[in-house]
Amino acid sequence: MMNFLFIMPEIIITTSMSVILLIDLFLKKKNKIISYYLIQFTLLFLIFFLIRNFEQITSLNHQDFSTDIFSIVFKTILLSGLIIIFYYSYNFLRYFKVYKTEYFLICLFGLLGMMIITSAQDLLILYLGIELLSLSLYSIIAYNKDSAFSSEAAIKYYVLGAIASGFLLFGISLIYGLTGTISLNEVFQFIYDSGSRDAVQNVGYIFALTFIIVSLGFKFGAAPFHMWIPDVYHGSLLPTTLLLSSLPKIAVFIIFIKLLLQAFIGLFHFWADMILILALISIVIGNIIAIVQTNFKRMLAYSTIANIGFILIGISLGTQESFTAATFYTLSYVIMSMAIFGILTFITINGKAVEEISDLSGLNENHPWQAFLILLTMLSLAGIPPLIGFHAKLFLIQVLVNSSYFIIALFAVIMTVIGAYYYLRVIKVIYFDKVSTKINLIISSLIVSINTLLLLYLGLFPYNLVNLSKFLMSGFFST
Amino acid sequence: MLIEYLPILIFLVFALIFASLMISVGFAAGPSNPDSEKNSPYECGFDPFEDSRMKFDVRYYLVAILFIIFDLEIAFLFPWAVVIHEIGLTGLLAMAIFLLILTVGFIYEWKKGALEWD
Amino acid sequence: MIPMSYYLILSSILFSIALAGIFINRKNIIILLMSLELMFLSINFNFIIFGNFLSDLTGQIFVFFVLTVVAAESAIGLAIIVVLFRNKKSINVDDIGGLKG
Repeated sequence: MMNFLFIMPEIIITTSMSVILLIDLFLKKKNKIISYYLIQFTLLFLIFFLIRNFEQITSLNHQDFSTDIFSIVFKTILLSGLIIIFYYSYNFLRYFKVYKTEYFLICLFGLLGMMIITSAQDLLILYLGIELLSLSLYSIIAYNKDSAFSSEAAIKYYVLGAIASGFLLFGISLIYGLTGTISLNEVFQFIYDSGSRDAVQNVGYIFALTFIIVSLGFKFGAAPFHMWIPDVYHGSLLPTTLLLSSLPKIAVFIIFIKLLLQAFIGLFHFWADMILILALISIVIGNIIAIVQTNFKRMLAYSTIANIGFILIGISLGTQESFTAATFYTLSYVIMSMAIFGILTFITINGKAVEEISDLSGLNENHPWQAFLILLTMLSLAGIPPLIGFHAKLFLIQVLVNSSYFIIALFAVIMTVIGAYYYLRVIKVIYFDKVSTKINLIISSLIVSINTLLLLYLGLFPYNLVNLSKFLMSGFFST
Repeated sequence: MLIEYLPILIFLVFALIFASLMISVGFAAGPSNPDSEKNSPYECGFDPFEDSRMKFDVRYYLVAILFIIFDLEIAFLFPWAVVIHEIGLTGLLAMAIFLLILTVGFIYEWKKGALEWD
Repeated sequence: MIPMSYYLILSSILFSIALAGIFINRKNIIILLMSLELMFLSINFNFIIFGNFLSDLTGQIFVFFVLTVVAAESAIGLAIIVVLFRNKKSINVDDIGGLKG
């Protein structure tokens, strides 16, 4: 009898999704809340399951589907992130009367995709995970059926996303043709063994890498493949934006690790420059265009692009130190973006969701605590001590200086200073502008306060997160 | 080298000859007395639109969406059926789980009323 | 025996036609979906050729999964188009431009 323990979390998710889908069909409209609690319970149970069976699962070794500490830790992070996101989304959707259980079920599909990505040891499984994630994102963006913006954003993301998947697949097919295998470790071994390659093979690898990196750059939202990010952030509902800006970033970062670090590290001198160029363009475009935005979600979209540029810088150096810094940056960015979008889901402007930055003018007068929370996240995003955003940027710039990339380090610092302008503008609007709108809070902001104060806590004591990132990356550099 | 492609060329030539022959025989020998009803465009399921460039009926798309899913089920069932004797009980159970998941989707469609035409 | 490069050239041509179809097409989103389908089919072609020349089954298995994923993808694409049509009463590419800035 086969041991299914290594894939048990995925089986539990699939089963509970099917069961909850069927239960939800037969529930009355006012009882739909039951399915929400069932979903939350499933996620909590999964975290419990992973922690309980940690030793046993990590000791199993499967060739195509690894369950090492790396994947289990990331799965736990994804699960706990999703619980918080669901909590924010649920209140928002209930308040605006667009709640349907399907929203959460589709998110669970996305979670399944992300969990498969963290475990994949094989290009086929990795591809399936990526597609499961993208397909659920397409449908979640189109969720708001009555909004023309929403469906427009969805069709744009769909078309571009499908092209990106095609590129990824084309790259994978070339890699398969060149190496004759789709297992990540075997691809690594093949490239490692064939030390000197002839020109044709080199061209083949460069071709494949270009296709793969273009597609990953798109999925990550790196400029010049960033066109979808502002539109999608703007067009979709706030909970969807919250989801999009957080967990998939971790997932795509893991794809980068799996492909570039695990499989193609032997081709480092081919991909390093490509990634670096993507990174620099992203930082410039993100920070410069964000300045002229008046829509809050659009501004945050460009800030996402800039932050992704920083993560990509870490990836492009290809050392253990730089990947640790990139992991640290990704995790802290996800916490920051969950905090800021989490706060926004709680605030209504004249009975509507937050859109423009000016909607929040004078927030401090009636809701000083919420204003303070936004202040914290903005300062953290701008990279001001003692918040976590500061450590993330500092860590990365330290790595750059240590590897004697002084010009890029200087460039990153200058761009951070430019970026600080538009974050500080939000603070100015909140604290110094006249009240012009009627601002209400949906429910008490206990959880979101904890989430935001975490930024301060981790900023004061960043060593836990640094050690976690070091620990996660050490497995890839031990050999 | 190129001689390997000769059968394809012969095939193409014959296909062209036969096709044009049949069409011309149909034109020449068949009776023809057109009237307005016969010449007007007809499309199954809905009225012909005024603008010929804008043909769009949502219901067909729904049917297409549902069709694609079950179409693929068959694509998996055929190879499975060929090797069922070799893969034994594990294969049977795996396919049962696969079909079960599809059935869940089918029940969902049914309950939501996606299978009704109107 | 036809050399492998011929097959690869064919699949690259198909891939380029699909890409051109996506970027040049300015009319109908349905044609866009068809181009996407063609793109994935050309990639499948690639996998089958490599699998054949390497005498390895992995390529063909990969094709199977790709077909499934692409079908799911086009189902979702059709669904999004239906939603878009209900909102905009049109599925022309030119009419999509509400999000700018």
